[in-house]
Amino acid sequence: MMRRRDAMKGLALLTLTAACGGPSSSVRVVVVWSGWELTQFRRVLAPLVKEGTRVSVQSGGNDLAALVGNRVARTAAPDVALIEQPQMVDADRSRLVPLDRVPGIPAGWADLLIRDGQSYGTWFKAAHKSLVWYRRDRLMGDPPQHWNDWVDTCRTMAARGRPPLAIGAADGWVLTDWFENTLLSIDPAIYRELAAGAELWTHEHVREALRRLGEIWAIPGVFSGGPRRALLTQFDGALVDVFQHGRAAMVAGADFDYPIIEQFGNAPAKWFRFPSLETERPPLMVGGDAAVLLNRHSRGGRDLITWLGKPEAAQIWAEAGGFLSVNPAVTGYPGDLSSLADEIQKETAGRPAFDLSDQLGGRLTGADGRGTWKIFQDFFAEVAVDRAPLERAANRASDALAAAKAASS
Amino acid sequence: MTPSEILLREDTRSPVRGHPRRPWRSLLHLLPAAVLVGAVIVLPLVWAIVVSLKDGGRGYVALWTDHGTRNAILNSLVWLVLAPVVCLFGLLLAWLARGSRRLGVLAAPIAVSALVTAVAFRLIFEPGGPADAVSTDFLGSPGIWLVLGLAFAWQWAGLAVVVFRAGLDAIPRSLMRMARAFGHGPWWRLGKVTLPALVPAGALILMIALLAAARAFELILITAPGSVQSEVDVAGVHWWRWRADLTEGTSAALTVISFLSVAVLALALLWGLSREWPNRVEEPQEPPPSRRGHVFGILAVAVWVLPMVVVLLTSLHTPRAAAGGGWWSGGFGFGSYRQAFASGELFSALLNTGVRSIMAALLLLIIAVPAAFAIAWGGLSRRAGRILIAVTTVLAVVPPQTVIVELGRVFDDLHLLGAPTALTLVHTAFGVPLAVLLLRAAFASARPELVRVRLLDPAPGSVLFAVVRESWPAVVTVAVLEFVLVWNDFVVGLLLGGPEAGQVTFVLYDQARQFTTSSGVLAAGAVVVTLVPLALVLLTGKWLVRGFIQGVRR
Repeated sequence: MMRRRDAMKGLALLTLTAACGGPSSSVRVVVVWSGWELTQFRRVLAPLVKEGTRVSVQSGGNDLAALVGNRVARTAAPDVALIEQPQMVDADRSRLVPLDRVPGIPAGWADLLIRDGQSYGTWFKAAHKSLVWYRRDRLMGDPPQHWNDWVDTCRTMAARGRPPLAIGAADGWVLTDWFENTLLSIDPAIYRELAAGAELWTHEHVREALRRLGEIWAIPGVFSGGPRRALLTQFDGALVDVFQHGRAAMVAGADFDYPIIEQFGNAPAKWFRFPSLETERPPLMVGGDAAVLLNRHSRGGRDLITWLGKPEAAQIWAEAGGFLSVNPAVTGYPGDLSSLADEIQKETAGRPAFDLSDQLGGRLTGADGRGTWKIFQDFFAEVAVDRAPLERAANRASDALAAAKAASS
Repeated sequence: MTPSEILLREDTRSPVRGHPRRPWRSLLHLLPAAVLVGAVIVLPLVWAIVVSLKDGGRGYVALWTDHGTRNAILNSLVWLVLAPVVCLFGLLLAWLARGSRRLGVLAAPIAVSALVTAVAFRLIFEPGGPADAVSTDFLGSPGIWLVLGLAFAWQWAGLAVVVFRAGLDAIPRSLMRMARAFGHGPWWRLGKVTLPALVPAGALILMIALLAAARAFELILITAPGSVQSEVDVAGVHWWRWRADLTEGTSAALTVISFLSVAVLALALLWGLSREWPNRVEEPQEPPPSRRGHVFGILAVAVWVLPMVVVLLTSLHTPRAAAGGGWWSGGFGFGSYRQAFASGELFSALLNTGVRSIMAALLLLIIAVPAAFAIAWGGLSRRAGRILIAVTTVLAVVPPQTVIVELGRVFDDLHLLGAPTALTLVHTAFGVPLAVLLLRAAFASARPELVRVRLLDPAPGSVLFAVVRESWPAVVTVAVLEFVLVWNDFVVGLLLGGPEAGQVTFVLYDQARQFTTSSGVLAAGAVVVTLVPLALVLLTGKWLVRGFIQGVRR
């Protein structure tokens, strides 16, 4: 008899919890990460979960913006989002809740999330996106110092039937990262103005940056498996192509490629900085993930963001690799990744050159099949697959960028 | 005079009665379904139409002038055309493989979620996959269309084969004999006897295929690499991805257009569903075994199990070997399964989704059975019955995207429901129309004498139970279909459930961003997630076919 009553009580409680939308210490989080990275993020949250917070994490993948912007029902809305596009602060600002500033974050980084004097996010993770990973046993000669060396190396290797490069062109952001690195080498000022929303997409330096990409992308035989296959290969597939199959020697990427190389490769991970001309400063382009709060009433959400802002939280993932922090208090990076963290902390202390495409809103916002991602994939196809004249392809891409910008304002 | 005219026919229409019979009871039977469907589908649908017309229909013009939305709408129409093509293919295969037994396996993919199907076909066709030997460009343009079409055909053509086969077997022999006796040739027999006899079953299968085609979402999301996403964009995906860029009116117009295009087709199908056909007067006989049918049968089964074999083999590799394209070569191990279960998310999602699916299936029966009974035997006028069926048909094909925004608003206003509870209710509501259509047809074919006797019985519900007992394969079919649909759902959970929904398909999607390096874990998860609905469908397979057939006998 007693047992039945207990069961009824339990049932009533269950209904009640369901009816109230769960206990107040439950947090709904959406992130961009998937697979192994998601597992690492869950490890970071483990101490909170141990303390009794119920955290449900969902991956939005490359469509995170759509998931965060999905304003269908409050029941479905996340409390916290880990965003890699600062433009989402503008896009979803009406729903974001201002947060306290966190100590240890350099001012230049914090500024990216500040609107009208209020901070809307807390940086959790930073990424070094000006790297080229290579394997020693496949590369002919020494790692290139400057852009022209790099082009020469690629030409020589391609001519000898040894594809120098792999590229995950199925992921549009891989291509925008390439572009951002060349543009940053050519004209950091234009880079900053474009990030601030200037309509300078037809500027000569933008076109020059595009042509510079084309210089490498259009080399016959430069990509393992050819450019068509590259367009169907994601960034992780490109890393596997190089470090497991040895089909190519180099792949441009970021520090978060490291764990993939470690887990799926069979050659040591080596890198050089993304090359620029001898006369230019080598670019250092960064990315990152910031936690934003979407639900004013979520105490658990606030606690979670506070935790993510602490070096102890960052430490958990940093030690596993593929994670950099702008906070100097975080240590224990595996391999020689700590030098990358140093580079980020030193070179971007003032004003980081944050991933340009991630700062662009409206029709330029990148996602699979849209915005900058799509425009650069079209450009890639034009120069690498169709072998269109560089000048024409570059102009067309810069016009497309300008048109998208005009359409969104 | 055609043979069907001189065949003995029984009039199975609702019995004519001398006095009006407690019509309030039928209304009571219809009420729960009406309230649920009214609140979850009809009201939001009407509201979406109102919103889409708010700015004087300019939203619709904007759809056509914008290159992206136009492309998405046209692609959605291509999907709708794909549905009948797949059904025709199923018919062809059913005819070729007649005489072959054990074709039931072909219908098994209806238990497989669109997301897992996408994983399977991407594994097959991605660079380095099994199809790489033929061409590396399958996932590019225009090969991606072939891959998507094959994936869709794999999911639905098998069901068509099985149901058409049963339909072919059920054609009264006497009819054929008579046609032959009248000296009609094989083409005449095909056009005048065989095909018309298949119309009701075909219409139902086509309806189900249309429903799936109109809701194609995760199949596209997962199968197509980022660089071809815009080419294969459809209205439902475009709406989700670009909604922030569209005005409220345009966004509503996009969903309304995708609803209207499929609703028109569904209404056309209704004509097929309501065709009269003589009830079976003799038990169906197995056709004599034929060598050709046997060969085609084996061939079809071999092709059909291939995608699942690729997923299974991939899952049995370590994540590392799987990433290197190993589905055949070395590197076997259970590492992928270990990783799939490591976080505990998969296990809790299995429980969550299981509970939700069972709840939705039971709730659906409680609501849909009385409603279907009321339409079949409730003494409604013929006209009222017809209108109800037409409305139900249209409601059966409403895409979730069309109603979800307004539905979300209602949930917000009520804020009574937590996501998981709300999700169960919404799933049930979405299942009601199709369930009512299937059950009504099954109930209507109950033996009239059985019903007539019980109608005099004063105990309420006794007719209902008698009819349900008579048509239980259809009831089982409806419950199993709902379980499978809820278990495999992605879109409704994504839009309305949020992270808390704990849907199994989310756990898979959580792995899908980096497809290559996740392929082992993804495949392992896919196998685990598919086992439950697959086992259910295989266990109930015999009744399912009978249920489908019953569901089209009137």
